[in-house]
Amino acid sequence: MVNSLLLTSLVMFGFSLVLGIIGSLKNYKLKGLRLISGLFNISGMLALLVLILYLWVTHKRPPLQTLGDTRLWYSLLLTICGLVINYKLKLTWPLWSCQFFALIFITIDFFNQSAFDTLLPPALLSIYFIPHVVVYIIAYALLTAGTIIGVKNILDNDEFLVNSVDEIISMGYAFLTAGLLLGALWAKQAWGHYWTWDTKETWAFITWMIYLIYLHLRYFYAKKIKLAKWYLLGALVILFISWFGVNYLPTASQSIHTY
Amino acid sequence: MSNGKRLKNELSFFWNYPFGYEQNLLILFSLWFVGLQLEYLTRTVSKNFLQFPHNLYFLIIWHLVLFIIYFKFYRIAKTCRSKEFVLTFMGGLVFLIIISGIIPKDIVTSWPYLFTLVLLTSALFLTIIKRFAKFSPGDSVFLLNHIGLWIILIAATFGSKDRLALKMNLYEGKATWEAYDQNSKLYPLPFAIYLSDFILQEYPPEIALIDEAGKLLVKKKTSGKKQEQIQLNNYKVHIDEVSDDGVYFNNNWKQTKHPGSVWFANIKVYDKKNQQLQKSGYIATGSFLQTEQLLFLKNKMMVKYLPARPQKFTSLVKVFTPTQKALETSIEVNKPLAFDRYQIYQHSYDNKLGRWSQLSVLELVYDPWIKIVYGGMVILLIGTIALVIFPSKRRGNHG
Repeated sequence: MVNSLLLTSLVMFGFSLVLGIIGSLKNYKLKGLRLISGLFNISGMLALLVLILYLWVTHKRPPLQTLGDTRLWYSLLLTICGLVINYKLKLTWPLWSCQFFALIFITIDFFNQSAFDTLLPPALLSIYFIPHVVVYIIAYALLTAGTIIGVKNILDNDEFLVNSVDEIISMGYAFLTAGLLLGALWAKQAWGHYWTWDTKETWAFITWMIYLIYLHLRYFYAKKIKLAKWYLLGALVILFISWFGVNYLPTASQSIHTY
Repeated sequence: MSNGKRLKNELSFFWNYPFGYEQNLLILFSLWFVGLQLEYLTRTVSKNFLQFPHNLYFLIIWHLVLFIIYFKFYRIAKTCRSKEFVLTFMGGLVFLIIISGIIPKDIVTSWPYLFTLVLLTSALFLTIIKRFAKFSPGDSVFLLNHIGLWIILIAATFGSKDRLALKMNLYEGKATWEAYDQNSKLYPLPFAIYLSDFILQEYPPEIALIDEAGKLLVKKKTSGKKQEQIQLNNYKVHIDEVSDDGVYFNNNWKQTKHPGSVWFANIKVYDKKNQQLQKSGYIATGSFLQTEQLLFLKNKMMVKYLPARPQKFTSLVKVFTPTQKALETSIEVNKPLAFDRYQIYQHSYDNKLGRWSQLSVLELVYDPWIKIVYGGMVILLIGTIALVIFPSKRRGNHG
């Protein structure tokens, strides 16, 4: 079931992406192509939604706790972001990029299906878990979507888009702050201290500082758009490190999150 | 003009206001250099200015100096609030934290880090005074964000050594009235804790298929209930009987409550393709009393239980004080008990004995600065939400 739903969403997003790009190359002369692409996109999102609900029912808990789970929500939220941008700003490439990212993350999940089945240690069974993770995934999706629009914008400078990017990023930053603070409150309840400079915490703080610097860069150097875009790209790399890259760092073995 | 004089002229030219990135970077690197020397020279000396009452004196004097700088030394204050200074020191701080995120070394209590943080929070504080001095309602969001962050940074950094974390070893059926710190120094407590029972609740163990080389091929969760069917790659496993109180006795598995009893199950393994019975028998987890039991299939693959994983740790306790009535309560992971000035946490137990552990280790934490940090967090959170609702205005390129 998990297998086929992941495959369905992969195929649907894949078709939607390919048809969307073909449609635009043909200047939308092939009527109906855009509609079909949109339908495939919606089907992909539905498949993800069904998968999330399926995991929710079979695991008897909201699927918000393993890395595998977060990748599912991220893919879903990211494509929703893409769709909203597509609808509001009449732009197609943010949607394609969001679909592309979603495809990568669903593929990772497809090859790591045991990631959904992790038994949770007592420290993770907390009322803070779900709000903490939900807020973080929303932040990640917003920051990725903002970066996608921003980086594309290196090529064509558009005042309106620049403002949209900044708004999306500051919204992402707000969610990032909320996630960080919720994490701190939870750490106090579970481990007795709100901050221990554990590897994950350290990188979460780095990510937060990096986006804080972005806000200051935009405040001090509003006109240096190119700098801002390249900075966003670098920031996204840091974000991915703190999300799952930390497991591969030499400091990871010292992590206290092993109760 | 003599060489010395020219050098002096060039230097005074270099240190002309306003400072650019070169000057600020030079300040940052010099501080790091001095900090490293200091770290090397004073590595045996603990930083006791992070401890009460020195930390409080330090914070007061430091901020008084900042007020003096703001009102009397306009140029220094302006330099500290400049974009070049702020971005240099933010970048410097992030750089140091990234290093500590890659190399497992305690950088965040080192002098270079503390110097960087002190200068950055100084800039933060000077900026806050400036905005307060020329307050307009439009500055509220700005102030909330900056004040919240300032409170968190100084309270969390300069209050860190005032946090007291003690451990307490409790044994079932016994009362304990002292705790010890990380140096094993004993602290008598104004109350005693009696451990009625330590309960370790486990998840039903996962069932796994292992190949002849000992490699785990697949693992699946079990429900811990009998008549369950589980697929492991090409095999179908029927669990006919299962219990978490198994003792192997007289060549047979018996269900009995006994220290060291384990999870055991009577299973039948079928080939998925032709539905033929491959093997039937017992599998069991291990404990200090008995070794785990595996079921070998015909092709030398095996089916086994993985060690059961803990789901919940609970200490049932009674807390006594000389004057009050005994308080009967439980302490769990994620459900600490607030008593006296301490938060009391379930910390650990005797790993070797697992759920038969007679020992429960509690952690007692006293953190006098926590309410200030939480206050800062609330202010920062309100500020960030406001940032989304009322987006800030740009200062522009020439601000």
